[in-house]
Amino acid sequence: MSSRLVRLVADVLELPVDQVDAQTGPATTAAWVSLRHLQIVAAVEDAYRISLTPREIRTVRSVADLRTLLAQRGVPE
Amino acid sequence: MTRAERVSRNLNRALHALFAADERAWLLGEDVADPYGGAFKVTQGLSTAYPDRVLSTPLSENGITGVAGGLALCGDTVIVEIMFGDFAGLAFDPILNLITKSVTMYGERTPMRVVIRCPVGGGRGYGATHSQSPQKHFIGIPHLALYELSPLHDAADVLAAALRRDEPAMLFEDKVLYGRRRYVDGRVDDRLAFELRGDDGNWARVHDPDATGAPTLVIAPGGVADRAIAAATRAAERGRTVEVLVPARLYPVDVDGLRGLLGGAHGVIVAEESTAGGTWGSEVAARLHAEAWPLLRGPVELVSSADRVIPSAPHLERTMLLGAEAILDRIMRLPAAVPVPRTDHSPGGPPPSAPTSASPSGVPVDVPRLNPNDDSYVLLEWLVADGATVEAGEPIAAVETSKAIEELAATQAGVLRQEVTAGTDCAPGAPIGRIRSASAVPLPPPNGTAAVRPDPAPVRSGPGSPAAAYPEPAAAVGTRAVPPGRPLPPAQRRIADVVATSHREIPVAFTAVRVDVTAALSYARRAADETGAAVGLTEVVIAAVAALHERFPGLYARLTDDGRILDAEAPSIGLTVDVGTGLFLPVIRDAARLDLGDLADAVVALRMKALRGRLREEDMAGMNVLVALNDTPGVTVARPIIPPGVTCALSLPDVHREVVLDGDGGVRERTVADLGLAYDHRLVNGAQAGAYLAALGDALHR
Repeated sequence: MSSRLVRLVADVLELPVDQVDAQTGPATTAAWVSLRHLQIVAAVEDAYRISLTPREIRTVRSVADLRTLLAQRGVPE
Repeated sequence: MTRAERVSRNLNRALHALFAADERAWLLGEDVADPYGGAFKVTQGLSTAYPDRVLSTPLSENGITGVAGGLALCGDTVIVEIMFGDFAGLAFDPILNLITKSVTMYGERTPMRVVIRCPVGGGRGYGATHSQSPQKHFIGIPHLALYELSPLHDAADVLAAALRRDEPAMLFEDKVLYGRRRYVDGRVDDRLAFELRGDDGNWARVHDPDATGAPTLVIAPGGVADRAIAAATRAAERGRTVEVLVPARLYPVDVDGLRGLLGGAHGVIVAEESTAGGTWGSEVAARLHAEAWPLLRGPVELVSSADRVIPSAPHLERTMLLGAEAILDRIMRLPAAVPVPRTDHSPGGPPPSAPTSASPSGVPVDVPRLNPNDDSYVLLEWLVADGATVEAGEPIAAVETSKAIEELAATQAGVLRQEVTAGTDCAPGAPIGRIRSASAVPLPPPNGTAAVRPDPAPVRSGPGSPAAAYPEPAAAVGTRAVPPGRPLPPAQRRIADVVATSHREIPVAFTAVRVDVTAALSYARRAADETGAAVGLTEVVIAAVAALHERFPGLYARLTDDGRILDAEAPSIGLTVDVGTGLFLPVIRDAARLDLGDLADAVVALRMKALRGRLREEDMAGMNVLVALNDTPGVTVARPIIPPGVTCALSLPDVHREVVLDGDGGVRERTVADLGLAYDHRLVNGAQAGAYLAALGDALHR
């Protein structure tokens, strides 16, 4: 079963959930362009009630990176 | 614990100290001698202690002040008491033509140690000619300084500061202060502290040490200090942070003492009791605008008493004199700043109440002046439905200026009544709706659900016909002809204005060059790999543009309306940002000081703000060159628009790969971008533009 984070990223990228995994990122997925990147970050901030710094936003290169940021804040995925 | 002394007692003590220390001090005034001791008892005991130098005089303000001028010319120190400041007009001639002129009129500087004390202000029911605040009539007279008594300053310090100038001074004393107790030991109450700042401790700053939000500064003279403090306290109950700044010296205005506070302030309001027009507040605003405009979020706002003669009847007097309510209203009309936790000083107590003076029709929702340039804004959208209940501080409408979208917050809790439809132009200061207290709105019918909004019934009149809670404006009655087509969306209207102005006013020329960006992209990738954070060609180009400022200052300069060139001190680079919420031009200030990582952070932060609709006027201010990102895939060259006030705009299109011949007859692949430079031909010629692009190309190639 897909995680909430994966569903959220899939929603923004308008991709089927089964096409999104931990490795999904701008390097692997054509739909993950710079605008979608910002929209994913905004969606994560809203969904998990967190705020990412500009530097953190730039470090996100995959779903796995988002997962790491959530874990660092102690937010369950 | 000893109670603080009353203000009048403090002033009396200061006068006694002055006379004890200065055997050439005089005090002249009507009925100042014991046992009367002055109309407000400020001079009590002085004539007993110093019978030869404290003299009750005939009723002649002109004569008293003239004598004071003569004594001062002989080197003496003179305190003049004008029984009511309203009568200072009778002393205007010797003030204007004798005591102030004498400082320099005789070929050498002559000390003129005169302090003219003037009890002023209303609030006591003394009527039209005994209640005025005439301070404004004495502003701008060379060698005349104006002071005002305050509950936050020690009168002895104020008197000393006034006399230390060796020039005439007037000391205005709000009559309502005489009986009040002073604030001492740095405390106003349990929440508010105060400190003295600036030269001679001129500014008293009243603030909440625990507050976290950007404060609204209310500048108020001593007589209005208590009212401003009361407004600050009530504003805090509604989530606003307010600091009250009270000067001892009104004029010349001490801007330096304020400078450290202005930058972090959310807004500045000057509150004074005089009627509007040519006021001390106007002088403060003019000085702040001239000397500290870059520090201000917007124009200084003024609030005064009503433009009427002061009535004697206390209930009528209260309606026209400046009160805490008017100050609070002005505070709450400013858009909300960074929210702060609501303060509740009475746990379990009632929630903050609406202003008690709110009229039955509610308080207006006005559009504040959001920048100094626009004469009108667009009401972009209502964020709360018509008739809905709103909380104080809750965003209720979005207004679009020429540069940004600002949210307006409710100034009080209540029921919102929209009076202007979304998409309408609205002028600064114009009302767009009203907020009525919920208790003033008819309750929904017993079987109603959430129908707070009353029926939009036609206005009824006549005996027995209660007026509708919200009378519909006449213009809303009947049908309107709808013009064909659809209106330009407000967000695009803003862009349309910028583009049209640019085309109308700027004679633009355009040059493009092909630049090898292979090395720049490699550099960005290395930076990203080293820091683990994305960096792109955009940031590298911005860094290069910033670095070229010193070599090509003319391309970052601005042409003024009168044909002068203003060079930019630092490169502040505008950036086109369009993340689906409209096109915006936020600015990265002083970009040359930022490294590549910081630039990338700044770009991300601005784009996130745009996405969230949080770009503000200050994010768009100060641009002196524009980098237009036209990197939609497949775009090979773009001619950017030059925003008014800027000389050059550089376009960065999509990159593409090409094969070129190298020096030894072989071929190689490279990545290129065709950078375009639109430039104001009044300031920049083709050769400069070409040299600039060549330098930019070199920088990116390296």
